[in-house]
Amino acid sequence: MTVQTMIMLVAKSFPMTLAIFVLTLLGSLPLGLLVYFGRASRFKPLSKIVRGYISIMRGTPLILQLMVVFYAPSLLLHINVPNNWRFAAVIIAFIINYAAYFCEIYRGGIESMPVGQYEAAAVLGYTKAQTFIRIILPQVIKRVLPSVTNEVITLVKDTSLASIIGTVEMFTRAKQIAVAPHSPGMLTFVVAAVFYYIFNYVMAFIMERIEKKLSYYR
Amino acid sequence: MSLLKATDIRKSFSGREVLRGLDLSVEEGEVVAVIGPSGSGKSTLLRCLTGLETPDSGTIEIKGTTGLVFQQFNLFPHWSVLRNLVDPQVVVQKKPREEAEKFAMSLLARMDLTEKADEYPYQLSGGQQQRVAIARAMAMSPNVLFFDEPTSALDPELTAEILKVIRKLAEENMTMVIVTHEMGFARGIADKVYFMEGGVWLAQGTPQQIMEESGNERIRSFMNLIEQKE
Repeated sequence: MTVQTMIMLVAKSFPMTLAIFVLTLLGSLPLGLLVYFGRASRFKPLSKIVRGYISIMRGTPLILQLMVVFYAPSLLLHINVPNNWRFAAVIIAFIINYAAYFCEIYRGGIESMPVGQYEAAAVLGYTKAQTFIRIILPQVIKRVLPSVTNEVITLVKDTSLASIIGTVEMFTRAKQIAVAPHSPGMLTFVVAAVFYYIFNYVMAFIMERIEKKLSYYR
Repeated sequence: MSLLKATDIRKSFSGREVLRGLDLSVEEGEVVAVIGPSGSGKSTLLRCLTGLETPDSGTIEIKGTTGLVFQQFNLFPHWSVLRNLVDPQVVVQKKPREEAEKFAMSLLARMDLTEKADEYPYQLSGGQQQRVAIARAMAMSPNVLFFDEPTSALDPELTAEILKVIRKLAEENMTMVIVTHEMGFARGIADKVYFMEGGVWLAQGTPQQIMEESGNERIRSFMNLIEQKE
């Protein structure tokens, strides 16, 4: 196997890595806000359940959560899982894990908002929903962006954990190639590392651009 | 006919009674100054009158709407000056945007801020921010405008700037209730002065009655203290 072929094969698995990344963000960024509302709810049982969920998500390894989501339905609950369950399990596990982190990031941002913003809005006659959507949320997004960037970068690398349940993303493919006869061996991992690095470099650039766009006010 | 009539307002926070049965009535076009030592409950009273706090007991009747100007301005930092004035009109009052913008620009002109319409709050001085905050409150066409120590976060020069604006509003017969530590200003502008201590009115009357002729030892010593500072 030539190096060129190896690079081609690694590149072909990149769309799967990208898909896990994009779908996880699309799901967990909004879900994190919903989780926050649950956590902040004055209905105590809901708030307690949500706290428990966040505690477990942050307190156990993501790789283990992936295995539980993938295997539990068939082994524990004896449900016949569909053929594409592997991919679905990866996306579900990543989304519920990242939503817990995003919830806590949002919470930090929302709780750091000066109470005067709420009071000014209330006196002007904005409803609670209007206040949150028009006044609080836009400012919170600016405040939490650096922390969200951190999570985004971590997620790029975390996609490789999907390998544990046999999802053929970039890391799984690199492992397969590396042990194949007549392959460039360890060089395959170096190439995969370069792919991850470039991906993250682009993501960091995009996030920085968004941060700059929001720096029109203080 | 009173524009505002509050009767026997009481409010406690975790067992501590901050307002202990206050009455207040404000006539249309009247300017009322509320003075008194820090922690006497002046701000809490304003917060009750503007709906930010609910009194434990007592009644509040207000004919029309209220506006509040805060000590810390509380402008919306992510919006331009103009949008700070326009958005509440459009979203809360459902005014057409064009009409709201026209009204906002006329208010900014009155505040001498026309050229700041497209700037953001952080680009303005404290005095300019407070003038925007006054304009934002005015944009809702309130029947009564409340001020909670509007100059306490400003240095003397900017304080004068804000007091001038409030004086102008008084000349235009705006009904106002002003919590302030600026005694000279209160004396010059107020029709009535209320002196609060410990959650009750210690005295009420014309500025002259309260500030110069009061027989109350506590009020006299407070005035002397303030005058020494001034």
